[in-house]
Amino acid sequence: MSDLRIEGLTVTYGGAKALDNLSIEVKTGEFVALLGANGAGKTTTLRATSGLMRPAAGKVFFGDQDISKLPGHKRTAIGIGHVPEGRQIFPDHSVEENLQLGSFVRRKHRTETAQSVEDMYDLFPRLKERQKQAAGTLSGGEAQMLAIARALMSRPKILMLDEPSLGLAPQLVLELFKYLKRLHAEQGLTILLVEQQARLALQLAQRAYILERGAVKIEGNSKDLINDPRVAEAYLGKAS
Amino acid sequence: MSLQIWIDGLFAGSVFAIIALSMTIVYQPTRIMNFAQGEGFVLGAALGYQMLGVWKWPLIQSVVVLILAAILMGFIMERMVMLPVQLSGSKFAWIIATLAAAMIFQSAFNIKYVNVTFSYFDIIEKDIPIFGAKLSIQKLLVILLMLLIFVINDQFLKRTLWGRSIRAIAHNPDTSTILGIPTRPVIKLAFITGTIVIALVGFLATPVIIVAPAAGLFFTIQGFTAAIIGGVGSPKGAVIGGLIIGMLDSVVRSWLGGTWGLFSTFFALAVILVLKPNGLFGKRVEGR
Repeated sequence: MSDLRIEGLTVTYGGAKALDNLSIEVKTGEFVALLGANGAGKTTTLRATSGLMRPAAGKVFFGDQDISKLPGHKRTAIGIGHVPEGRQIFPDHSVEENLQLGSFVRRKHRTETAQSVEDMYDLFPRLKERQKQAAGTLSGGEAQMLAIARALMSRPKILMLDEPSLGLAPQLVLELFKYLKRLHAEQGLTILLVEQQARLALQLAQRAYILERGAVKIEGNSKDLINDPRVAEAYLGKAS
Repeated sequence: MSLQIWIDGLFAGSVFAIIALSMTIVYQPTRIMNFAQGEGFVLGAALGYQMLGVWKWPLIQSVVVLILAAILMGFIMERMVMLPVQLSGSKFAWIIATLAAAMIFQSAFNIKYVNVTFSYFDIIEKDIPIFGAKLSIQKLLVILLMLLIFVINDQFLKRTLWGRSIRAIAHNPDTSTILGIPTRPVIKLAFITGTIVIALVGFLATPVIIVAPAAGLFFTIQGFTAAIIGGVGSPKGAVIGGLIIGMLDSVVRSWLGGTWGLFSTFFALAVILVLKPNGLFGKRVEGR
């Protein structure tokens, strides 16, 4: 089992609480959206889950394992994939090198990783056309696809995406979300999606958490939330 | 102009090139110019003096102990530099942290060796005659070491996944971590490798140039100058930059006298900074 369970997570930035006793859960095979206004703590949640930030309190479980103390690079090896905010592809490395770096944790299995690169090209044909090109020359949409493909190269059990739609044209956002839907439906990938575009995310995801000031304000099935006036309210940051 | 001057310049250039290479090795994953790097050179000189000069140890044993000591020094250096950087979160903490490390190591050498300059005999005392000039085996060893380190470093960065991951860490440590690259161990290893490299050249070059316990910062500045001329972060740039200032120093020194040697290298630095601010082989580094 590879359920992700976050229990009572508190993260502070020099006194200010970015996350305040946050608890969420993503079950194997689920597609969950994490929504909320700017500064609600969505990115911090993902960064703490990946081990990039040390929480002041709380625990993170992956499957049966308590990974709260596990260094970031080892969390990738056990199956946590993370597409960071702003894509963060390596601009001086070629597209192919970016993909190879994505399979760093599986570097001992050469034939398998070579196959994975081909799989990624099948999934995102436009990356194949640019495989030898420096990643810095890609367009925004291509760069986002590379960022996702790179994260998939580690064969994650759960993929966390941080605002993949940011800075993309609406048409590309739809295309991108179609890919996410396919990954979830066809490959059974567990997905935790952080998004600003709440309506789109709710159409994709099965469940959602709405964060406000570092804690879960609302949670429920997407179907119920999509018309819930409280969701719009949370987004506008209206304080109660 | 006699050939000897060029041979001496090639030797001095190789010394500076290795110093610049060792600074490049640390710079690659960290984007930190380690001003304490030259202390590794003094470590090589001091241990060479102690083991070969004073204790008369056999060569192999001395080299093994030297490498172990360099590993230890690299390990300590990494903590001295990276801990303040990680704890402070400041973009510029490395400047003061590396200078402080340089001062601490320099003081340690000064306390241990009062009124001593490090010198000892060549490992193999033999000269190779070249058209009336001569190249000692000791100098040849330094030149070969430079080429060896350059080729290994260059190929490692270009051809291996670990090399690519080092370039990735330089670009973005957090993203490297989420791809599963062990960022901090790689940085530790870079400090250790860099220190081994510079300690080896200190050990080999000292019989030729004679080194004072407080000379670390001088070698740091020479390596730094070479790295900037060649382009910071580029192994090729480190080698070319080192050779340029070594040759220039040697030629100008014989032509106008000793004091002009150092002047000429810094003049060359100023010219390069105006004409090619990123160095001969440097890429523009985006601010982080």
